[in-house]
Amino acid sequence: MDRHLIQRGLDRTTLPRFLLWLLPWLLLAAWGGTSATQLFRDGLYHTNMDNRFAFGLWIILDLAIIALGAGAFFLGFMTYLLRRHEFKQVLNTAVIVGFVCYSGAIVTLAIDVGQPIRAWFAFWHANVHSMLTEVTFCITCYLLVLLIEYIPIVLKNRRLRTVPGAAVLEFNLHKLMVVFAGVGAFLSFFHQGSLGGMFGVLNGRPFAYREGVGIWPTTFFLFIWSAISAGPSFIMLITMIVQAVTRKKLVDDFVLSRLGRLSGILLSTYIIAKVADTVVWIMVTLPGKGFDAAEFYRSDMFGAWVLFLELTVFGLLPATILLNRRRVEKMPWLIAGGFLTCFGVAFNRFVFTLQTLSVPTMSFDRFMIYWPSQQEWGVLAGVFAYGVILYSLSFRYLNLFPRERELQTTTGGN
Amino acid sequence: METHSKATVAYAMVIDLDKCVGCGTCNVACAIENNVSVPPSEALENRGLTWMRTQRVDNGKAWPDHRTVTVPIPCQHCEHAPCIHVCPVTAVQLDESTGIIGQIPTRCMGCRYCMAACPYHARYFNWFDPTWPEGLQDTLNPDVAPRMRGVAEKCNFCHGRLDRARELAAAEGRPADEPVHYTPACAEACPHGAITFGNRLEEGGPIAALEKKPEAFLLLEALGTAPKVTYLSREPWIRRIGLSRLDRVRGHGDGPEGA
Amino acid sequence: MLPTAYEFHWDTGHIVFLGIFYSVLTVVMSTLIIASLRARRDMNKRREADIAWHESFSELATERRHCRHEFDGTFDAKVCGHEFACGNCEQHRALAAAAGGDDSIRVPPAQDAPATSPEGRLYHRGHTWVEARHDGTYDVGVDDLLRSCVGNPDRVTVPGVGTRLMAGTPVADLQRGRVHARVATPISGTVVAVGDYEGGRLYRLRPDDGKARLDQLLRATEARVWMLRELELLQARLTLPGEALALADGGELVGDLMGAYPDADWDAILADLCLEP
Repeated sequence: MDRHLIQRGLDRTTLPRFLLWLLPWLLLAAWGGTSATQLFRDGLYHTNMDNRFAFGLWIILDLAIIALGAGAFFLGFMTYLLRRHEFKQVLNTAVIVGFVCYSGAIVTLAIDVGQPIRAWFAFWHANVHSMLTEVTFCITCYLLVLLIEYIPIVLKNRRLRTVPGAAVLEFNLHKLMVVFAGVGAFLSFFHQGSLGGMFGVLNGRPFAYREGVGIWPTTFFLFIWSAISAGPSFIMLITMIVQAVTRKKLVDDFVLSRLGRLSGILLSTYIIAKVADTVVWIMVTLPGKGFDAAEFYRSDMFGAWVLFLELTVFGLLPATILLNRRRVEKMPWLIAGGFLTCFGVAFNRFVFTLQTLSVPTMSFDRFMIYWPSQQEWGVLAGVFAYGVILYSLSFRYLNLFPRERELQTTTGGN
Repeated sequence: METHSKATVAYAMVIDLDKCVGCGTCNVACAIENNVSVPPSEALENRGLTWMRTQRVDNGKAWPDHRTVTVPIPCQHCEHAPCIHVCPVTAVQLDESTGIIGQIPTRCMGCRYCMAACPYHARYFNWFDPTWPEGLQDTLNPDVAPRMRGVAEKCNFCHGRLDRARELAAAEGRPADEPVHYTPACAEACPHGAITFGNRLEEGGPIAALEKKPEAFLLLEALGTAPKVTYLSREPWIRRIGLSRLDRVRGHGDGPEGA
Repeated sequence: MLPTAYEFHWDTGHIVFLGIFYSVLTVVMSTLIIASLRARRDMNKRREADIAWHESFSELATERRHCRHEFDGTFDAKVCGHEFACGNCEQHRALAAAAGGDDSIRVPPAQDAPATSPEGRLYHRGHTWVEARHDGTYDVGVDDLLRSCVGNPDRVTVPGVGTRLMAGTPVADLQRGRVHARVATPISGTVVAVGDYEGGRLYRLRPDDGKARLDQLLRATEARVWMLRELELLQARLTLPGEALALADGGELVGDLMGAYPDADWDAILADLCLEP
């Protein structure tokens, strides 16, 4: 039925089966849409956030998906500026995943703020000293760049490329892609950092506060580093999931291994920096603020295991797996390493958001916990479903994996 | 309004906890003065609105050594305020001529970053549309604009009263750069005179003298935020509640609920 | 954001932050504008076909990009790096000069004798052939392989007389059922006559500047080897793994492969044959 829209030679399932696949995601998206409508109409009291838990599930979601979406800029940087052409095989996926992550984060932020109609104030009345301003500017600009990077992929659709001029525009955009890759890398560098800086500058919140390096707290650099170490892993996992769901070979295995090893190299250096930062925080920063690190790890919810887990199971362990040349060639190891890396970066964002707000500052404050409301989960589900739907549509109607056709004919698979 | 030079005025508050009996009059007077709306009764405990939280704190000991104190916590108007530089839309501003940290509700976009930044939890979010119980609308103060849903708000040292005082001074023909005296609603309403308000830079003024007393302490002084609200108590255990190390006071996790 | 906004101060923070912001916006926007202007210039210069071919070539599988000099035995294995524009290839020019510089097409001696012999044809990689005529026009037709694949098309669409064609652009359409083979024209020119598919000719062209560009076309000797390779590729796609090759043992090409193998992905196969992505 929609054969004429699908790239020739790519084997895609029938339209009814595709729609059936979309159905559960559409239902999830509808849940998200209903929740968003309620929140826009009635206000944020539908959430379980409160005056202490000013940030909740959505900020964790934003931080996590933006960190995981770092693969888009980092692989663009590797491909176009460092000329590592093997990553071209997954670059389209990286761009779309990045687009999904960033647009999803912006939508979530729009729901999260109390006065979404005033979102443009962040530009008009910009407070240039706020990390959140830097985040807003960079994310918006970078979403524009991602959109521009998405256009050539869309223009190569079987139907669109027959439109006079589409191929010409695509060709000319693609020739200048190195500029967009460069700008994207620059912007991402800053907003990944500013997201970390957001916490590091909280001089009233000793759990999050970090010493400054230049004009930025150390979290600025740690967030960049952890995001670019998780980015390749996330793209690798997404590619593997797509291969598993579609039962097709889409990229050469060595590309996945290289993505994994790239993560491993970055993650191992990140862990060293993270350990050093934690030691300085415990030995210097906290005593200076009159706090003791042990206080932060004394509740039922956040014990010392939090720190231990982050540094070892989500740090050292995946780093050692992914650094090993032989292990990254074995799929189970690669999956384990990649998953732990991605989960680790999300866990780091979770800790920075939630534990910062959970732990008391004043001596008579209580440790608090928070559980998101149905509507908050709804928005999360909606963003996730939006990502799956957009990616599925792109996978069906666009040629995301340049090696797909060749791999199909050489392996004889369907 | 840049009528006062920055060096001459810094409004500050001193709260004598030994005089406070925890009656909550300051809280009520503040709400009426500043048109603080009344959230619906089904609101969660931590979703209320107040500019003057009165928090009950105990010494964690069993009877007969059990002691409690009520700590009124308005915005501390920190000299190094953690909330100003975080606001992306410049809705939090320091008035250098008064030292007052102002919140501009019509500009706030409700991101709540300032609330995460404040260690005193002195900032509140309008989770609901502003409403008042039947009849209470008639008591609204025409000098203070109510806040809309979805923005943060907090104590501004009764800025409406400051404006009124300035108008009065101008009407009396006093020079515009002369510091004006005024009293916020909480200080005025406290039946025991526990709250003193004034210009801490005034030579020989009451605030400067009280701040120098040995029983004076600040909340979380070690954070370096330099609050302009000082607390007084002759009780050593009460003076320790301002410290940040939990173990200096008592075990954790069993304290009273916040507002 | 603007110096007119209430909060704006000419301090370092604002100048650096907003300076970077506007620089980024300027770079992004001017790059977009440059890309659009270049696209418009390319359109004005009628370079769509070249660009489309450039894109298509980059998407061709390696196995379909072999150099023509593999077919004449000069190289064992060589992948074309010039998008089949042999005139732009140093190596080809050197080889052609060594071989006597005969890159042209044999024109039949007699004034009105049709060049019926396949030996006189030049072949395009999109499975079309070109035949020169004495009057300076060229006949264009579909080669045997593509014809055997399509069998009897339900509909054949060819450009009408007077249409200007650009080499590499899909111009003719052979439709069978739901499947289309979009045949690209091997050379540029204006259509002067429409042939008939049954007779093997699609149309007759007159090159716009008098002489057609033929350097990218395969001569009959090369074309024979090339055609065999194409046949092998086709067989691989029509044969399930493990099944014996139906056509390998010198058997005649079945006249109607689409009818013989209805389950094959003909959409993709015909696109491959026509070099269309």
